[in-house]
Amino acid sequence: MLKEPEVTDLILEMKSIIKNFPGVQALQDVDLSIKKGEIHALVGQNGAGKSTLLKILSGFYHMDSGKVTLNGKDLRRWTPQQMIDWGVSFIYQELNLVQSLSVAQNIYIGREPKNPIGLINWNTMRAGAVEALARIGVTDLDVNTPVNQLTVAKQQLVAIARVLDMDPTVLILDEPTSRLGLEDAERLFEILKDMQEKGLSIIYVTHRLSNIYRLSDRITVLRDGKLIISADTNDLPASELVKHMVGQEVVDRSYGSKKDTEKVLLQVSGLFGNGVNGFDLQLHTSEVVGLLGAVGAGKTESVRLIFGIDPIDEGYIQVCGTEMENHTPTNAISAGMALCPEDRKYQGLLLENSISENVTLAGLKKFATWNLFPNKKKEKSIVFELVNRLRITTPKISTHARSLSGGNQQKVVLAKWLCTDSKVFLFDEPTIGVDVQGKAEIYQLLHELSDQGAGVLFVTSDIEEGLQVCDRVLVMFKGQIVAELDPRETNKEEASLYAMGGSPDELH
Amino acid sequence: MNFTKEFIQKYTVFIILIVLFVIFSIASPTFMQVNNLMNLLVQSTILGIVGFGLAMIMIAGEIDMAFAGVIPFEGAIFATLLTNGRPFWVAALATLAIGLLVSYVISLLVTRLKLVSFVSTIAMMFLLQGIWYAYTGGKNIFLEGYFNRDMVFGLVGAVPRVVILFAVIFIILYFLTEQTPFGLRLRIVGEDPESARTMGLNPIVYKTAGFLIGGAIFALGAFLSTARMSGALATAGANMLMPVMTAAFVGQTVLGMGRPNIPGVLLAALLLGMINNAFVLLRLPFWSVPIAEGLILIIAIYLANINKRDVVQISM
Repeated sequence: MLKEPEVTDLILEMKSIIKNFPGVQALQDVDLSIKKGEIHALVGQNGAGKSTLLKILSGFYHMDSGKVTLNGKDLRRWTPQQMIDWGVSFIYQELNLVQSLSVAQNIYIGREPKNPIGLINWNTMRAGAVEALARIGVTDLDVNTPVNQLTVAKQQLVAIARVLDMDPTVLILDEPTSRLGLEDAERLFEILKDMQEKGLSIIYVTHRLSNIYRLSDRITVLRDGKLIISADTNDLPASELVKHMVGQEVVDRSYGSKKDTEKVLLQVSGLFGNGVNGFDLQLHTSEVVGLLGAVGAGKTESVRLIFGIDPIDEGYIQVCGTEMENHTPTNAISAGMALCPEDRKYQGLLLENSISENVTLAGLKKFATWNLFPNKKKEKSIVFELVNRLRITTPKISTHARSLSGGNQQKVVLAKWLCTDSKVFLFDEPTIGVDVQGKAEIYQLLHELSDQGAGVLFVTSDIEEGLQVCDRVLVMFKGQIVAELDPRETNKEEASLYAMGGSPDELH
Repeated sequence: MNFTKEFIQKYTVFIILIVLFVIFSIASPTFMQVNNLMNLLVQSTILGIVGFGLAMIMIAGEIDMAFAGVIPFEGAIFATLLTNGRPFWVAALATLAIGLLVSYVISLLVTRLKLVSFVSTIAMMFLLQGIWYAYTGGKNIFLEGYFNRDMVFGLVGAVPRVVILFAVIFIILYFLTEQTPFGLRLRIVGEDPESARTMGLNPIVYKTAGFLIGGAIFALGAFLSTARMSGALATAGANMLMPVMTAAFVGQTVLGMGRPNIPGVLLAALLLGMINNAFVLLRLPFWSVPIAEGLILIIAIYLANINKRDVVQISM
C-alpha cells in the first residue's frame, strides 16, 4: 500500500481557516502547513492577516471555521497555556518579558522549580537559566540581572532561551530582527539554523527579503487575508515574491504634480535620535512628499523628531527660514508647522469635545477678543465653513468627536490645523482606518493645501497610496532613508523592495 | 555619592523607623517599657493585617478601597450573630463567607466587566456602608458579655496572642508572595498582564485569587477590630481607610522595591503605630498625629524616588 509521504512529515497543519471581525473578513480560507524541521517564512504586507493567523494558532483568537492538526491530532478550541503545553512556542515582536524580573525568573515563569514544601528553588532556577542560555551559546550574561537593564538584543536571547528550554516542537518568531543590529541578527540566525538541525520547526514572520532567503526552506505569502502562494524558497525568486506580496494592480496616479519649488519650507539635515539614523529632507512650497516604509522603519519617529516631540541627538531643522534651536512642539507650531499624529484618537483629537471645540483648539487666539474671551460668533462661522469645505459629515458642529467615523475624525484634525497659519504639514498615516471615499477626500485635501503653497509631508506604510498621491517619495528602512523615487518613474514593486531592505538588482 | 543615594533609597523607612524610635525612647521614659512596646505592637496589628490584605490585591495590579465598607459590615454581622447566641465558629465562618463573597463580586466587576478597580471598589464601599446602615439602623452593636477578649488579647508570656497571630500571618504571606510560584505569578499579572498572557498565565485567575485572599484577610481584620472595640462600631471602616492606604503605599518604598510588598507593609504599619503610640505618651496635641503621618508619607516617597525617579514610581 502506498503511503503519502507529505502527510507523515507535517507537524502542523492549518486548513481553510476563516476569521471574521465585525465588518472585516480577516482571513478567508487560509492554509498553512509546516513540515518537521523546516524554517517556514510567513510573509505579507501589513494587514495581510499574518498576525491574525498566528493569534488563532496561539489561542488568543478563536477561528470561525477551519481545521488545525498538530502532530496528527485534530484541535478544536484551545487556550494559550494549552498551546504552550503542546509544544508550540511564540516569540512576539515586543518580546513580552517582564521588565522588572531577572533573567532567570523570566526564563522560568510558569514552570518555576519548587522544593518539597512548594517554595521556589532559586538555586535550581539560576543554574537552569545558566544552562538554558549556554545551550544557545550565551555565556556572558548574569542571570540575576533584571531584564530592563539589558539591551534589546540580549533580551531577545533571553526570550529565545526561555522558549527553547521548554522543548517546543514548533517555534514561531514574529519579525525577530526588527530591533537587532547586523551582528546580533547573525547570531540569531545561527541559533535558529542550529535548532532546525535538531528537528525544530520554525515559522518565521518577516517582511525582510534578505532574511527570507538567508533562512527559509519554504515560503507562504498572504495578502488581504487570502493565501496567495505557498512554495519552496528555491522556486520563488525575490521578484516573484514581491509581486505576490504587493499584488498586480497598476498604480493609478490620479493627482497631477505641479512644480513651484524654488522656496524651501522645511529643511532637515543629518537628523539622529530615537532610532533614526540620519534623515535628510527638503520640503518645498506646493509640494507633497511621501515618506514610505514598513511599520517600524522609523517614519513616525522621524516625524516626532521633526516636530520637536522627542529630543534630537544630532541634526539641523529649519522651518520657514527659522532655525529650530530650542526645539519643542510649541516652537514648531509658532514657526508654522502642523502635525496630524498617527494615533489621532489619543494624540490629535479630544474625543469627548465637540467638533467646533476641536477645530478651534490650535488656533484659539484667532477667535479670542483681547486674547481672552472666545468670540463664539466668529468661531461658529469659521467652523461651519471648514466643515463644509472638508465635507465633514455630521449633524451639528456641537457633535462629539467620538461619534464621528474614522474619516470624519481625521478631517476634524485637519480642520484644526487649517485654522492656524501653518505652512508645513506633517501627516502621519492619515488614512488608517478611513474608508475609500474618505481616503480620496483626504488626498484631495492634501493637494488643496499644496496648491495654496503649503508643503506637505505624507507618511504612510501603504506604498501604493504613497505613489498615487505624492510628487516625490522617500523610502525608509531601519531608521534611514534608502531611496528617493519619482512616482512617475517607479512602480510599486521597486518601492516595496526598498522598503524591505532589498536592492534593485534583485528585481531582475 | 551614588552609594549614599542607593542606600537612602533602600532603607528610607528603616531609617525613619530607627531615628524616631531613638528619639521617642529618649523623650519618653515609659516608651521603652515592655508593656508599652507590646501595646505599640497591638496598635500596629490591625493596621498591618488589613494592609497585608490590600497589598495582596495591589500585587495583582488592582486596588480595593471597599475594605472600608466591608469591615464594619462584617463586624456587624459577627456581633449580631454572637449576641443572638450563635456559637463563635458560626459567626466567624459567616464573616469569612461575606468577605469572600464581596471580594468575588468585586473581582467579577474588575476582570469580567473590565471596570477600573479604583472606582468600582469605592462604589462597593459606599454600597456596603449603605447596607450597614440598613442592617444596623446606624447603631453600634456591643459585645460585652458575649465575647471574651482574652481569646485575642490574652498574653502568652509577655506577648499578646494577636501579636503572635500578626507574626504568623506575616511569615505565611511573606513566603507566599516572595518565595512561591503563585506569588511570582501574582506579581507578573499585576505588573505586565500582556506578557503574562503570552507566557500562558491567565490574569483573570490570578487577579481573582488576589481579591479573594485580600477579602479573607479583611474578614480577619473585621474580626480583630470588633474584638478590640468589644463591639461593631460605625466608625470601624472609615477610621481605617487612610492609615491602611498609607501603610500600603509607604510599604512600596521599602528596599527600593517600588512595588507593593508584604515586608514593606509590616514596617510601615509599625512606623505608623509607633507614631500614634509615642505622640500620646508625649502628650502631643491630637492634631499632630495626622500631620506627622502626612509628612512621613511625603518624605518616604520622595527619598525612595531619589536617583531612580523613572524606575521606582508609586503606582496605584
